[in-house]
Amino acid sequence: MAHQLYRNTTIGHCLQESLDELMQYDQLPPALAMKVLLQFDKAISAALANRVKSRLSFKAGKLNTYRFCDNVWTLLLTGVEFKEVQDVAKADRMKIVAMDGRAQV
Amino acid sequence: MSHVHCHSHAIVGQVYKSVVNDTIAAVRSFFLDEGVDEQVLQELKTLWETKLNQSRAVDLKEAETTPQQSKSARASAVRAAARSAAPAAGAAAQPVAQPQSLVPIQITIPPQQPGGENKTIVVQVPVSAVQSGLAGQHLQTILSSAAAQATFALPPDIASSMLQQQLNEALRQSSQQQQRVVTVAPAAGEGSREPPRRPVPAAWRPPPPLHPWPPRVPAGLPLPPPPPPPPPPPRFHEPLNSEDDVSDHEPADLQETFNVMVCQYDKITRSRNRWKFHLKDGIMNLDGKDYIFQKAGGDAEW
Repeated sequence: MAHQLYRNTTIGHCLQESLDELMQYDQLPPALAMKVLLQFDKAISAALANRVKSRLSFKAGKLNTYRFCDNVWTLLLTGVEFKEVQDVAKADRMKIVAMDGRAQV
Repeated sequence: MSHVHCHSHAIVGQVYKSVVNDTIAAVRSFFLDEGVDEQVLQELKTLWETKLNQSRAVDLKEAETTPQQSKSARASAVRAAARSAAPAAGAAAQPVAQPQSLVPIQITIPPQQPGGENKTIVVQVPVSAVQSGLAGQHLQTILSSAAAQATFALPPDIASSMLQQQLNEALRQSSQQQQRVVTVAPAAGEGSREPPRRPVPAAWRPPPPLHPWPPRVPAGLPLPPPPPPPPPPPRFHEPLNSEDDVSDHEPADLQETFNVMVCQYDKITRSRNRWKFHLKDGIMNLDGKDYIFQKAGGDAEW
């Protein structure tokens, strides 16, 4: 089963809101909505693994907090600078949620 | 980062489109198995893409005519459904929102006699009363009273002014007695406003009654020990020493974009206070824009 991690993204939230609307008007049974979400998990994982080639690097001024629980890292960084080839982006704060990518569940 | 040129942002649209298409295609068979119409599936796709477009995190480059039409049709259907759920018996109140201190409330009165027509009367209500729900409560009370029924039979302008007076009086009394319940005894046979039958909000509950003092003891007899003082009425106190509390500074205000990266980790290592991150397959939202990467590496000091 693919990670459900990517539901907490723009595309994941948009899907969940859409499903909620349809369920609200009784156009969609909840069980079917769950199946759609599970299928979304697979599709986004496959897309990220196969369709995306870009690489980033980042440097943070500070790692404010870190948490490792249930094989999930939650990191809070401040003063982060992202670089991709020639482009640079900065963020005052960045929260990273990382699931274990080593073993295939 | 120049969003247009950054590769990890530029490809987001294509990747999202392909994910949407793949997901929709994959669940089509589930929809058929459950007996759900294909139209619902198309509606899901449309809603999903519309929301993605509106999120501005990505440019989907989709034509927006069809999604917007169906979305605006749905929005107007929702509004119509909300409007048809009339609260008061025999009348429907329709608030018209305007950025003024007074808000006109339109009340539609069904014909009082057979063959008559709907009457519309307008009362002006302060915005704060509308927002707090007080206006709705008072209107409901006034409109359901016997006197109001008689008022409906009058010409609309006279009916408006009479109802306006009753509403203003009701709002004035509400504002005077903010902390205590208005115990208006209903006058039998009169058309005065009845006490509301809906649950009273917490702020309106009366304080508990004070304990009565013991009866006066005749002189010469030993006085009983004085009873303990009655408990004070409950007041809303701030927590004691709340100024001593040290709360962690919230990492981000709710109004600001909370930059989040969701990804998988290959390896995260630490040497003393130097951390190194090896991440992969991630989606990052930075200042409202989405970026996608296959690999990301970083350093930080703790």
